[in-house]
Order: sequence, then C-alpha cells, then structure tokens
Amino acid sequence: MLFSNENIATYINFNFEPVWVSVRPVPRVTIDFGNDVIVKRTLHGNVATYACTAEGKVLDILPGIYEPVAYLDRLEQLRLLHKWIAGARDEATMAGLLMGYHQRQLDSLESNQPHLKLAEYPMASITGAEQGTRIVLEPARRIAARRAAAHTERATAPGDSRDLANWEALFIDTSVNEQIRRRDIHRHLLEQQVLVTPEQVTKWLYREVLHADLDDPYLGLGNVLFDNYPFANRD
Amino acid sequence: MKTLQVLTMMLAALAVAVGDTNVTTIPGKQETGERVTPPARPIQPADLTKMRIERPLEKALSDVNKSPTQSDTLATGSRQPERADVGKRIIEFDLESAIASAGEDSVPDTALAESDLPKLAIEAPVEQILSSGPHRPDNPHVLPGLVNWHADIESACRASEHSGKPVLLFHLLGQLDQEFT
Repeated sequence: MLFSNENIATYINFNFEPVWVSVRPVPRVTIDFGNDVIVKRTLHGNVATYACTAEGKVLDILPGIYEPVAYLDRLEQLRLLHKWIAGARDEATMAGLLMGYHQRQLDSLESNQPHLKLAEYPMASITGAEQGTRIVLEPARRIAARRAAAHTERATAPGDSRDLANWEALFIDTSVNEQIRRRDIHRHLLEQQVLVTPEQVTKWLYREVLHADLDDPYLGLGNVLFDNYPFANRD
Repeated sequence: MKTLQVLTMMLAALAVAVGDTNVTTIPGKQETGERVTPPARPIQPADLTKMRIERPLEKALSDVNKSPTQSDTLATGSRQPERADVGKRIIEFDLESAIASAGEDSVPDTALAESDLPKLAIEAPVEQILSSGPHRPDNPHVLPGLVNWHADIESACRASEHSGKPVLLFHLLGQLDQEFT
C-alpha cells in the first residue's frame, strides 16, 4: 500500500533505483465464517528497506512498515546519506564515514534522543555564487522543531479509517521501528566495521530485529501447529 | 483312530445335508444293510472372538512390508491383498515429516496407496470449470504499486552506476506482486 501512495512512488522513482526481493514465502490463513463471509490474511509478514550503493553495499536499513509521512521522510534521509557517503574517494573512507554515522545515531538513540537528521545546505563561494551543497547531521533542537511540525501535519491530515496507511497502529509501529529496531541495526552495522551486502545481514535482521527467522521451516507457526497437537506423545 | 471317527461323523453329517442316506452306515452294521440315522452332534458356538475376526496387529504390521507389489499381483492373477489393519503412524505420516518433505519425492508407500483415486474424483471435469465463469486464483497477481521496479538487484546496481542514485532494496516475506503478501 505504501508503494501505491503517489507521493512515495514518485519520490522513489525520481531518487532511487528500486528493486524488491522476496526473502521467504509468507503463511496465509483463510477463515470461512460459514455465512459466505471469508477473510483471508497473511501471518507474520514483515518488510525491510535497504539503501545500498551501486556496488550493493548497505548504507542503512529501515525495518518494518512505516506510516507514509514518516516513510517519505526516512527515504529523504537515505538519499542524503548516499549523497554524503558517495563523495568518499575509496571504500575505506566510505566505511569510515558510515561507521561514524552509525555511531552518532546509536549514541543519540541510547541517550533516548531521536535520530539525528541529515540536512543539505547550499554552499556559497566568496563571491556568493552557489557551489553545490553540504550535508550535515542536524542538532537535536532542530529535529525537535521538525517533529513538532510533522505532528501538526499529521493531526490536520484528512483521515480515512478505511485506508490502512492511516491506521493508528502504523504510527506505533513506526515509533518502535525508529527507537528500538533501528538502534539494534545501527549497533550491528557498526560492529561489522566494514561495508556489508544485504545477504550478509538479512538473516540476522529478520531473526533478531523483526523476529521472523528465515530458516524456520514452519514460518513462525511452530507453536500454533504443534503446541496442542494431541498425538505428540503417541508419535 | 480318533481322527477316523471324526471323519466318519463329518461324512455322515454331509450326507444328511444332501439327503443321501445310502452312504450313511455305521461300522459293524454294513453286513445287514440296515439304514441308521447318525447321532446328532451338539452344535458348538462359532469362535467369533476378536482374534479370529481381526488379524493380530503384529502380523498386520509385518505384512505391510512384505505385501506383494502390483506387478506381482497381475502376474499371478491373484486378488488384491487384504488391507492391513495398521496403526495411525503407518497410515498418516506426522505433520513435521509432511512439512519437512514438501517438494521431495519421499512420500511413503502407504500414503501413495491411500491416494490412488480415480482422476474424476480428484479433478473437476473441464466443462464444469469452464461453465463456472472466470476463475479467481487463490492469491491473484496485482500491480506492485506505482513504483518502477527493476527486475533484480543486479540490474538495479547497474542502473545505479549510471544514474548515481542509490539502490532502494525492498525485502519482504511473500511476493509484492500478489494480493496477499
């Protein structure tokens, strides 16, 4: 549903080279209520958004699903991060910059502060002519001001209870993603000390952060399938 | 001697049953040709205990492994072997094994035997399917949003080299281009 949002889709198409990959099947359940009402849904589905370099190295990860306004904002952060890192002359320099980024974000989150934010400012020469931009991590007070603005925007946005993108639970999930799950991700990427590929972190991410073990043959339904199995002792 | 007496009594009983009294004689009376009626046998209740009706479980289990194959049966022209009275473990294979063996060809022989159903019992006739109107698949294909996705990560990385844009890799459980993901 996020990718059916015109603002998000346009932003992605304009600023990224997008690709989706299925990492595992998802279990589906069908509940027939017996009165011609049938409900189908998935269980234990989960997603992750990676920002990567052209060499396929991970810059940062957004775990889980976000509400649209926050997702768009984080996509902008990922774009700026790539722009900031891409200026490095070699991979070692790039890794150093990236480790510094993850360290500062981790410090902020462990101090119960929100994520630091990258901001792009125009750079002017002595003559006043604009010479590109510079990207910095913004101080916390600026972030607080932005958060207040985003809150106002959210409160005044037209709501539609039928639209899952405006579902209240999404805001809660977004907050957990930002404060808890991303903290674990920053720590893990920092521990690697080198640039890693998505394949090197995906299983860890799903098992430790999203709590969906990709190697689980029962797709996370083992307890449901076997806890009440009446013939367990007989078999 | 006892066996001879038993046989004689059985013959006598058979003769009574078919109405032929000529063959019914008693030893020692043959010289006179006197017809006699055989003594009535006490009727014994039939042995219908569980052991006579059902085969012992141990035998049934051992027969499962050495039951003749279909080709053997055809060659000898004998009847299909009696279905063994076997336990749940033999008939069903437990859920863990079923899930673990999905996609493998390791289905137990007993399961194959149980699933030998005629085609019509399994598939609906084509006419019936066609007359039921458009079929809605279980998990229909949908457009994966409004994003212009690359086909795979390699092509996304190649495009990134040319455009200078970062790769946005979206991982998910299930398929983004299916309704239920």
